[in-house]
Amino acid sequence: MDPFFTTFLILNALIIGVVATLAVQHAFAHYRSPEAKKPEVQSLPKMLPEMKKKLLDEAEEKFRQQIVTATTGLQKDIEKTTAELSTHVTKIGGEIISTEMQRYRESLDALRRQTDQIIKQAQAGVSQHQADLGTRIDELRGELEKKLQADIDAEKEHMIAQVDTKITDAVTAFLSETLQHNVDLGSQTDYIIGMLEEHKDTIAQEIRQ
Amino acid sequence: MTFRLPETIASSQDLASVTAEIKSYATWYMHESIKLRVAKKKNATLKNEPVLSKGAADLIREAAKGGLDRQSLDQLNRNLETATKTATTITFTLAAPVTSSVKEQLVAWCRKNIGDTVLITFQHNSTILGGAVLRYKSRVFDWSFRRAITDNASKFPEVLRRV
Repeated sequence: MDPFFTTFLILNALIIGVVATLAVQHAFAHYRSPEAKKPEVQSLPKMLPEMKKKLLDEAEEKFRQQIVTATTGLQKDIEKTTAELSTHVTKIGGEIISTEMQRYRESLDALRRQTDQIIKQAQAGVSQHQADLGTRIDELRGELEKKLQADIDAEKEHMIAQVDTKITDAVTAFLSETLQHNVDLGSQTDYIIGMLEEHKDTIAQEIRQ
Repeated sequence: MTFRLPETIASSQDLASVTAEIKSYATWYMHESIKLRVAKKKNATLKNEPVLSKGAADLIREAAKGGLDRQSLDQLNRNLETATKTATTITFTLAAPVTSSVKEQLVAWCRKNIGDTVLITFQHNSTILGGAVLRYKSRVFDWSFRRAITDNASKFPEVLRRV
């Protein structure tokens, strides 16, 4: 609601209240002041007491009716004003609440959007981190598998070499034990001469030096 | 004429022994020659000729080709002393004690292909299994069966897998 209109209504209500108050005070001052009315009563022509009483009763009755009418009207005006004020206040309050609620909703929406964005960013970050971790884990696993395979191959080669060495040593030892008791130099002469012929130049060169 | 040691003289010990024999023979020959000249008898011959080894006999026979006399014996002695001082010595290690036939074949080959006065010492070591190890000073030519087996030990697993 327009603030100027609200102020205007409040001023109206105050003016009506002030006017009503002045009217009531004036009425009481007019009808109940004995000092002001004594001279007038003394100056009035003498009337019959019944007439006087009747006039007084009528005047009182009229005044009462006037008061009741004014009071009723004032009460109605006040009720109407109060109702209108209540309506306006309710309307203003509703509008204020509605505006505040709208702002609150907008703030909530903004916060929700911001939160959603943050959550999405966090999820993206987590996903990226998970992907990086997965990649790194895969790389490490690959490296470990390669290293393990290399170690296994090396150990396998080492074991095979050891077995070969053992077998070779055993066979060499067997040949040594077997052959060294049955040496026939005569059958080896051709082999020795052949080796001498093969290395003749080298031997001659060594000896000439 | 070059001096050549016979195949029967293989090692430095053989050479020293033959040299001693030749010196002894030369001394005997000189004494007997003097006796022969003093006696002036016809048909006189050298007496009590010392028994020589085959190597010494071969050398004297070789030296006496132009006629045996004191000069040829002295020349032979000088040749032997020179050979003793200058001869190259190589060592053969065989898997068993060397037999005379093998020894003569190896010495003949060395004298023919290496030098006329080369000396050969023979040793035996049954652990080489067979073949020979030739050593000259610090140089070693190892043609032993053990060396062959050891050098080819790495091939044994492959051969074993093919079996």
